[in-house]
Amino acid sequence: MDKTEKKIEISICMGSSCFIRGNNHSIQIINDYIRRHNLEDNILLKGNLCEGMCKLGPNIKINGQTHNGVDPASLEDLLNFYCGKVKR
Amino acid sequence: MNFLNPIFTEKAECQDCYKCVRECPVKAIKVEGGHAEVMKDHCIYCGHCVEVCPVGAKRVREDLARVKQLLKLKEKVIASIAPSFISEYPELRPAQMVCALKKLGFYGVSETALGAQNVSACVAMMLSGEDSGVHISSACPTVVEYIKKYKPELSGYVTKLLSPLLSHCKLLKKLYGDDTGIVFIGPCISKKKEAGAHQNLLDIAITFEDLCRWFEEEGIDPEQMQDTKADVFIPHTAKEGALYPVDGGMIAGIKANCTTKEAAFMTFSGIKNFKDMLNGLNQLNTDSNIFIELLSCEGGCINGPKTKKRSSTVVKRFRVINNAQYPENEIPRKPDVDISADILINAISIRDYADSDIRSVLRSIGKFALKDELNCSGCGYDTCKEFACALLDGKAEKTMCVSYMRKLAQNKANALIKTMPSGVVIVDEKLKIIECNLNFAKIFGKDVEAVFDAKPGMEGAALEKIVPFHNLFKDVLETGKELIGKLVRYKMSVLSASIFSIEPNSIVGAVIQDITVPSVRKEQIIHKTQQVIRKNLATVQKIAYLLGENASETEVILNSITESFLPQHINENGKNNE
Repeated sequence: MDKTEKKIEISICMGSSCFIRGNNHSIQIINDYIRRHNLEDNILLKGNLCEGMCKLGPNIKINGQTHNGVDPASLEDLLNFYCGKVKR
Repeated sequence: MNFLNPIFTEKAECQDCYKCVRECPVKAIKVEGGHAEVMKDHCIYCGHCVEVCPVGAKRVREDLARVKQLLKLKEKVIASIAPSFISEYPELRPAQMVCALKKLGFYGVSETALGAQNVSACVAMMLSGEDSGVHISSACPTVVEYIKKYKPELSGYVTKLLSPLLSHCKLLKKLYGDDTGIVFIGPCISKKKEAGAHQNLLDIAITFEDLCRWFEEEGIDPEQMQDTKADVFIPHTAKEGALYPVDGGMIAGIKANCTTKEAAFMTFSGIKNFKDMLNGLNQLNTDSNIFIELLSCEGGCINGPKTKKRSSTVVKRFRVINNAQYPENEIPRKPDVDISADILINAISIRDYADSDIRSVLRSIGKFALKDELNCSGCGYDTCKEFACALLDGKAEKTMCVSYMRKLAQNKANALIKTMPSGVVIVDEKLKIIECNLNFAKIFGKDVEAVFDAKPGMEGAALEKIVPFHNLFKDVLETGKELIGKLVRYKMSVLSASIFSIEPNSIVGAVIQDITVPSVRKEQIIHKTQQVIRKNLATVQKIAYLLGENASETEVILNSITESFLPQHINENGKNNE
């Protein structure tokens, strides 16, 4: 991979509401995804504290764009959307 | 894909009735811990289990959240709507549907039937080509899945073409760009699997049911839509492809495109029908062209598992047939995109078990001889042998066998009742004995015991004639309240009776103990001990008496001897006494 290419930054909300509503599993899913597609160098995974959007959670931010109500199935779609090109 | 299978079981709801096992055409259900689970490698996604599950524990994955997300992620998302929508929403004009879907956020709405027309054109070309033989339609994903998994030897017959849906996706991507998102809306569950397997063509598949819920959530009533001239199907409306959702519709479409009359066309719909047909296919011995249209749902997609109601076929059919057109200037068509595809075999290995293995499993469920094999299919499998194989496969549990479980329960109960030290009796609502044990008979005397000997269990005997306190039983039957340790007098003894409901208001049981029996024994012991004491005392007295008598006699004799030697006696008889 080209070193100059920007990493995909995934920030997953670890506030208690998002955590309990699915983000606890989502970390696992993202990590699995990274491992399955060898994306260790392309994805920067980090956590953030509550940003006050609990009502819309669980929330995951990718490249600064917040995505609300991310369940395991839509998370896979999200990752495919952002990583689709890198994956290939 | 590591998320949910398109069909899954809500475990907490599943109540182990085995109806899904019984109804599943490929027995792709695994029972574990009393819960049925869809085996995704074996499943052909016909959706039958979802339909028959009496408690609604079989669920279809809901993908609405994913669709909503897709609408946010991608600029252009096109809805590919199945031609069966015409029978699913009979009150709706197509333009209203387009308008409503656009309101949900779709860029445009296109008919899956366009892909079908392309498939028809390709099949027609294929049939007029040199490659003659048997051709099986690849349109129905469940059929293709079945052949791939269970009839891999026939997979060569399946036309090497994409399904109408994927063909449509390819067309849309060609027309609107590779980045276009595509969501299929139709009556089919199997399409969800197709979407998962072809993510590059089709993003998500949802059902008509999902769509209705979505409309409701958003407060959209499609029937109230004021459509405009812009609300038309893109890129254009479908014509003869709209016939695909009824059985025979595909063939009609192909025939319209076909210049040759050499092929024999056949249609089979419904899983049982097409399974039977495939089983007999190898008997067919011919070189001529045969085209077989197979659809998993009886009557075609208009009766798909996620249509509102799977009936009134004639009305639905009429609507579909009425909707299709055969424009003379367009037919015969030329294929618009290349839709050649390979069918990847994914055969399920079906293990053959040795006869001895099967027999030993059968023995473990109490089936020792052929006559024990009831083949009642209570477990969901047609025969006991099939069930034994499923046990060996590890997808079934012994507890699924009803006759085995009944026997086991009965044996347990029998052993308990028989060995219980108290009297046990179970009666029905007419106070007729269902079962009792020997101890019960013994409590109520020699006559009852004799009856018990003649007929162990005394089934059918009237409780009134045996037990004087049968009113207590009646009370428990009526009120359902149990009596514990109730003391009743019976002849010379006191009985302690505990009467309880087994089936409220219809079967009661009682445990009866003669509590006087042990105290009678105690008295006897006391009595015997006292006897011993008395006898002992008597003997001692006797010995003492004899001793005393002996002593006094001895005293008398010795006294008489002593007296005879006294001095006065000597004085009287001689002079030297003083």
